Amino acid sequence: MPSPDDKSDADLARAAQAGSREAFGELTLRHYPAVHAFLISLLANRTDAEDLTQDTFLRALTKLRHFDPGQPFRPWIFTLARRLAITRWRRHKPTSTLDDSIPHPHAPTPQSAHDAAALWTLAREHLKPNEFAALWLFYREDLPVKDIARVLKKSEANAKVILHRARTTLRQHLSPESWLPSHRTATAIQPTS
Amino acid sequence: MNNNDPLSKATVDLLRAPLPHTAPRPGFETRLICNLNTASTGNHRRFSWLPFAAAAAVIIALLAALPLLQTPPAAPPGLTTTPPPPVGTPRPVLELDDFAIPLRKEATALTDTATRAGQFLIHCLPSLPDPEGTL
Repeated sequence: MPSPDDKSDADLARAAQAGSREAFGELTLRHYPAVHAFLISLLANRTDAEDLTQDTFLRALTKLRHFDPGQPFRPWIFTLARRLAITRWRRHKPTSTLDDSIPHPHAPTPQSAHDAAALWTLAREHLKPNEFAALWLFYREDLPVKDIARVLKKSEANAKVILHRARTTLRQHLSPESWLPSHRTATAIQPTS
Repeated sequence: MNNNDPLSKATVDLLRAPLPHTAPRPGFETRLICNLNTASTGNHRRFSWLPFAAAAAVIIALLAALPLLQTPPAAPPGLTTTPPPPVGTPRPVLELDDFAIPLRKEATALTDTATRAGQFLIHCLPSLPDPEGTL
């Protein structure tokens, strides 16, 4: 008998729709780190991110009968997470810095990781939620534009526009001295002309 | 990378670089799975209203049938009722000759009908007291 690890998301989703809690648990274990990382970067609050990750998978469990196993699972779960995050975002717009529960980036981590965190903080400050989500899904989740459009509930052409607008806005705000913790030289991250 | 990407390769590499402190805290995974296992599914929630609806329907049906189940109210004090006539009141015995006359036969039948109707009304309606004996 194949273990749950051998099964695809579609197989697990079908089993979960048939009532298998084990299959849904396996789906959760596969995808919750990505959802949590997206939410913690978007909301800048670890407690909120954990709460919303839990809410996302609880909602997925109740809405599972609406999921089409022929479609990829990850865009669907990100759709639910994004909706919940935007609702929370509108109520409490995240502050410019991460909350105190997240260690300050002076911990011994690679410098590129600090710079990446600072770059995503810059994105959170200057981008709209849709633009941030599109940027995150494209660069960190490697989702194709078609799936990003599905998450954003937009047409593919519209999703391309949102993604382009996000990149352009981020480029306009790229001033290395202002956001890089390491004060790297401008040549290292200078936007393309 | 897309040639139309306004971001430099270095920036794109940073966007894709591992992020610190985005990993879930220890114990979160266990808590998440436990909460999912204790949560009810949508199918259960979908029909959760059914017992309440059934109970409401039974209550409404009982309330609607209540007047039919109640016995007629007792006569209020001060009203007297005429006792029903004794069962088996002797009816006048008709002579054979009476049936020979159609008019008398018709009159007898009408009298019987009127008597039965009158007795029915007397049984159903309470009579008013008549202290002065005018009735």
